[in-house]
Order: sequence, then C-alpha cells, then structure tokens
Amino acid sequence: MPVEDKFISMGLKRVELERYLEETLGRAGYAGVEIRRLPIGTRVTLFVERPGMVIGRKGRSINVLTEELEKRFGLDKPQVEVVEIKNPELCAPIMAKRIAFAIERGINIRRVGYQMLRRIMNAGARGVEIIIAGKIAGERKKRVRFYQGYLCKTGDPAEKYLSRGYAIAKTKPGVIGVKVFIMPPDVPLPDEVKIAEPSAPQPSPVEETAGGESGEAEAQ
Amino acid sequence: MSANTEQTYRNPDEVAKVIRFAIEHLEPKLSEWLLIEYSHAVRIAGRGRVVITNVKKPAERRKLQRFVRVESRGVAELFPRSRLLVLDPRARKSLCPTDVGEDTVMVVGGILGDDPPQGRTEKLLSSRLRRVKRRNLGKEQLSIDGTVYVAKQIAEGKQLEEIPLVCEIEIRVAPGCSVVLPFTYPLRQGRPLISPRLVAYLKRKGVRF
Repeated sequence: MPVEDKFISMGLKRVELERYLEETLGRAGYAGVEIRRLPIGTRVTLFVERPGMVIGRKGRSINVLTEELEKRFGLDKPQVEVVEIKNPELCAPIMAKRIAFAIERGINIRRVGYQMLRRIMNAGARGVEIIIAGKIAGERKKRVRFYQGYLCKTGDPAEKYLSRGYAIAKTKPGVIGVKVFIMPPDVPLPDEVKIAEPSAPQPSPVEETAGGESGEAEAQ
Repeated sequence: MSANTEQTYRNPDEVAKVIRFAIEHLEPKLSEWLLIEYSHAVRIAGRGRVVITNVKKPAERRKLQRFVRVESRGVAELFPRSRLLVLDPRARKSLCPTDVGEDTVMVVGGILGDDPPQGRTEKLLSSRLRRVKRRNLGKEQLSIDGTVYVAKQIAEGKQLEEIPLVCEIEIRVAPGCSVVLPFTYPLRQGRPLISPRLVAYLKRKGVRF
C-alpha cells in the first residue's frame, strides 16, 4: 500500500471514530478526543462536560465504550481516560452544540448569537466569532457572523490555542451550520513582548576575589 | 400579456428590439428578496428593456406588473430561439461584445443561489433551451441584478475582464453582527453594486433563518 493511502485510511478511521464518539457521547457534552500510542497500549483521552455520564454506574458505560473501541476501530489495548471540562463556555465544540440546540428549538438567531457571545466573553475569552450559515427557500444562502474581541485566525497561535467547534441544526426550513471560534484567555501571543524588571544590583564576587586572592598569590 | 404582445415580440419591430433582457422566473415563490433583486435589475437595464417570464401565479404577476413587463409563458414560447442568449455560469464560453446582436435577448435565470452553486440555471433553463447560445460571465455566481449590469456593460462594448468584480460581501447589520453574502458582485465606482433596499432588508430581517 502506498504511504499516502495509509495516511488517508488513518484519517478516515479517525473521522469515523470522532463521529461515533459524537453520536454516543453527545448528551455527555463531548468536546473532543486525544489518542496517544504508548508501549503498553493506546491512551484515549475524552474531553467531556459531564464525565459521570461517560463512566456510568460502576464504570459500565466506559467498559462498553472500551470494548467498542477495541473491536470496531481496532485500537490496541485502549485505556480510556475521561477529563472534565472545567469551563465549558471556553470550549467551542460545546458552545456550537448549544447554539445548534437553541436554533432547533426555534429561538431567534440574533438572540442566540448575542447571548452566547456575551456568555463566552464573560467567561474570560480574549475573542470569539460565531458563524451561522444556511439557505432557506426564497432567500440566498447567507452567513451571519457575530464577533467580539481579538481572535487569531492564522499562524502558530491559531494552530495551537484557538478552539474550533462545529455543529448542525436541523430545522424545518433546512439545515443550518454553526461554527464557533474561541480565543482562550492567557494565550501567549508572539507580538506581546514582556520586558523583565531589572533585578537589584548585587556586589560582584569577582571584585572581592580579585582584590584578596590575586594579591595573596602575588605576595607568595 | 395578450397574444398581441407575443406577435410583437416575434416581429423585429420597435418593441421587440428594445427588449434586451428576459428574466426567467424559476423560484417556486416570489419572495421579498427576489422582488428587490428584480426591481433593481429593471432599474439597471431600463424599464422597457426587461421582461420577466414564466410567472405562473396571478398574484405574483400583479406584484411585478407595477414596475416591469411580465409574462406567464416561458422565454422559449415568447422569442425565437435564434434571438436568445442564455447567461449560464456553466456555459463553456464567456460573453463578449460580439455575441450580442441588435435583437439579441439575454436570458437571466431568476434564481436565488446557493453556496456552493447547485447549477440550477443549467438544470432548469439551459437544458430546456436546446440549440440556444449559452455564455458565462465568469466562473463565479452573480446576483440577478449583478448579472444584468455586467451583461449590459458587455453589450455596450466592454470586455468581461475590464469589469471589476468582488467575491463575497459583508454587510454590517448591527454592532458585532454582520451578514456575509457568498456571491460575486460587480464594482461600480469602487463599491459593490447592491440594491440599497436589499441592504435595508438585510438589516431588518437578515439575521433570520
């Protein structure tokens, strides 16, 4: 098999896995997965809003999930770890799902957009962008964009720190897509240079030793 | 319109000659957005130079008759095929000034587009009009009024490459909120050509699905 095909099949497998996790853990507030290969097996870290729902009573649900990951997706000795998201307002996938859910319930788009924008900013985000897109009969396709604060869209900080989320709202007039981008607080941006305070001057030990030792050495 | 009008169209007399654009109404309903685009297209081309065809519902015809000539029949029934030129983004050749003769009627699809484009002009219009000239106005999807503007400019002697276009426009509707239209719009005096009524409509109802 050519090396390109291998990478493509790995990518497809990952997409399948993510879709499966999204479907099964949607109610638990699934926000993402991190898979690491270790010498003793595969570590699967699940980021969720409500870990109790993933673990289940006496760990029953997590055991079922582990088995499924091993059998269906061929993961080698999976060790599932569940991490609770402390601040869901700063997690874009969760917020995107919340917005999609609100749209499905028929809440006004403008109201949902501004409400979520405010909530995310109040949680301490540096910047946020919410894009709601779709086409309804009798109108052109359009995107509605809500934005506030500072957001990096390209470059290293965007790759490393930007939280991206996507969800779909299925409404009667049609499917509406929701994209959320959140710039978390305390992100070290490359253009923010901090100048360190100069520390208090200390007597240099070189002078002291130079006066004493060298003098003695000369005398000897 | 009566049979008299049909005869007038078929004969190359004065009225037939002035019709330069036929907008074939292809949307299932005449929405406010569509009405605004039609009226702006009529304003660009000139009231007597446009006919909106294929408007089946009497209520919709009444609405349109206030500002433009309206026909319930399709463009194929109204004009001889030799006079027609369909503007379709999926056509192989681009429109140039030599394509437009004195009695050419440029046919525009009355469609509110999607992104990515669904090719509805080809499906609903070009495929039904066999042996009719087809030309594109570039690969991008233009609005109805934008199409009329660009086609008019080309008919007046400009080349397609000379007409400045802008892909995707963003209209600020409220503080911290904007509506993005992922379509191509021609630039007039450095500004996208969009109906002020449409901008007002978007500010009023744009944030609605």
